[in-house]
Amino acid sequence: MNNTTNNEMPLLEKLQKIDRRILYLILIIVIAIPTIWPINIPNAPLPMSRDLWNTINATPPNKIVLLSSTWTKNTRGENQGQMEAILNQLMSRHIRFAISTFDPRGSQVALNLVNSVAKKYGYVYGKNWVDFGYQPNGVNYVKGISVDLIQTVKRDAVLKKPLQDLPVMKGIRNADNIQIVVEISASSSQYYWIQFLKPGVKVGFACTSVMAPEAIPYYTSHQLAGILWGAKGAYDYEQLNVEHHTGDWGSGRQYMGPLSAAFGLVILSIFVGNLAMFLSRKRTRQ
Amino acid sequence: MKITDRTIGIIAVICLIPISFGAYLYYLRFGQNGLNIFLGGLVTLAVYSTLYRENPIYRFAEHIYLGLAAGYGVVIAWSEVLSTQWYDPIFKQHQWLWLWILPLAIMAYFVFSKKHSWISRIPLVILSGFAAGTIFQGFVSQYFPQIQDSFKSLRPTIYTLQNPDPTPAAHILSISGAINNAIFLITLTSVLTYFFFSFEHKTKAIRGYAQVGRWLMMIGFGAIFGSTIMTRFALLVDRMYFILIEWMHLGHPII
Repeated sequence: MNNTTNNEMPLLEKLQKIDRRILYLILIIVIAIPTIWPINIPNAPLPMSRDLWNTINATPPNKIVLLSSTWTKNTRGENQGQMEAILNQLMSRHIRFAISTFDPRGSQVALNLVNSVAKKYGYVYGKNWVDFGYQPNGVNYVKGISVDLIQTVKRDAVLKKPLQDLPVMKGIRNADNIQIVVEISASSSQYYWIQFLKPGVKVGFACTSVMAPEAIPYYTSHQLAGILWGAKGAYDYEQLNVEHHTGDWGSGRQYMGPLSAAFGLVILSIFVGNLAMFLSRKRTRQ
Repeated sequence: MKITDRTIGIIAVICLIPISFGAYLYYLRFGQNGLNIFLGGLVTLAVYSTLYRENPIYRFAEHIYLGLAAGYGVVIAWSEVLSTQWYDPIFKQHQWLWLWILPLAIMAYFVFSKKHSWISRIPLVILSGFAAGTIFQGFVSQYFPQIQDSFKSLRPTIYTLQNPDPTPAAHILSISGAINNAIFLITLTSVLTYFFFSFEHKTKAIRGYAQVGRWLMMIGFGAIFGSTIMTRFALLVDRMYFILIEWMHLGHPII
């Protein structure tokens, strides 16, 4: 009995003092396997994702959707899947849309993504969609488009043409002609819209998971029409798209397998580490 | 044998030869985009090398990133802000009134003068005035609906456990929804009690209720921390996808 105790003691202590590099290696292996050989994780879309999907889907022909793409490659894992899913829905439903950004690096990232999806649907710049470009002063921009979108933005960011000359802007004057503004963001830029957009215009929020708990109170108080919660939100939106034939699967579904495997590893590590600690303490007391 | 930083640096420089050859092959096979992905993969590995330990390869990648970001910032400051918002309106559209901003902006640089640093406060005061007015409007729009929404009903509108339409816009309150609202009200009042410092928490009931608020905050922080982990892992998964699928072509990109 004593021998067993002596043999087990170092193991319990070792479990609490595993080199972090070994844990990193295990984590990489755990993520790599389902990345190379994908697995499908079942999913049920959240009501907040469904609300956003329904609001965009109900866009009438005389309105546009404004995507404020304030993310860069830093948060590609969550925001790209969300934006791609929204773009699929917009283009498959032939909805006119505009993009803008509050991040100077976000402009090119958004443009590249829209161009790649637009090829699939034959969307033409200037006719079906337009880029308002980087907006350095968020407050002025939001307050300005609430009153007069054309005078606030003046020229598009790609062709540098006056907005009123572009066919996509036909009948669009101010925020009343916007069905919904969707802030796709890795920062707190949704507050520009919540605080300063004309009351009555809907705002959606596609954010990273870390920001979602902070955003939920604004959804329950109807200040946000819907939320996409990180990678899970992207998966929700893709599922809704597939169910309604408005898009395909993308990175949201692709990443959910490795993500779930990583969560499993964390839960297991916490369980094993704590169990080893309790057993170790118990044996020390004995 | 301990590997020094100098050894790592020398190995990295030697590795540049096969890396350059690899980049050329990538370019031949996949074009410009392939070359971008190849360089992106290398930099990703260089940054992740710090997980093993701090090293010159990591610092090299870090400095490249900082240099690129600073250079890009300068270009954007001119091309997207100063040029479009100030220079073009004045010198191309002849809106000369915009010139008044120039002396105001120059005043800000007096902060470097010991004798005339007071001048730098003038633009600051003007900006503060703008900000104060804006923030007041923002506060009202942001928080008043929140206060309004904190008055929640505790009486269900339908006596079923499950809500057939759980979206807030539906205004349907099931039994479970009423329980949620009760939890919300307990959380709100108990946390406010915990942070109520105008009088001492003398009675046992108030101390206990404040303690409940503290525990509920801890649960909230735990949930927020869980979401933080989710974000970090999603970013890691994306980088792994980039390296394994887009860079090394080890799997199929679509399920």
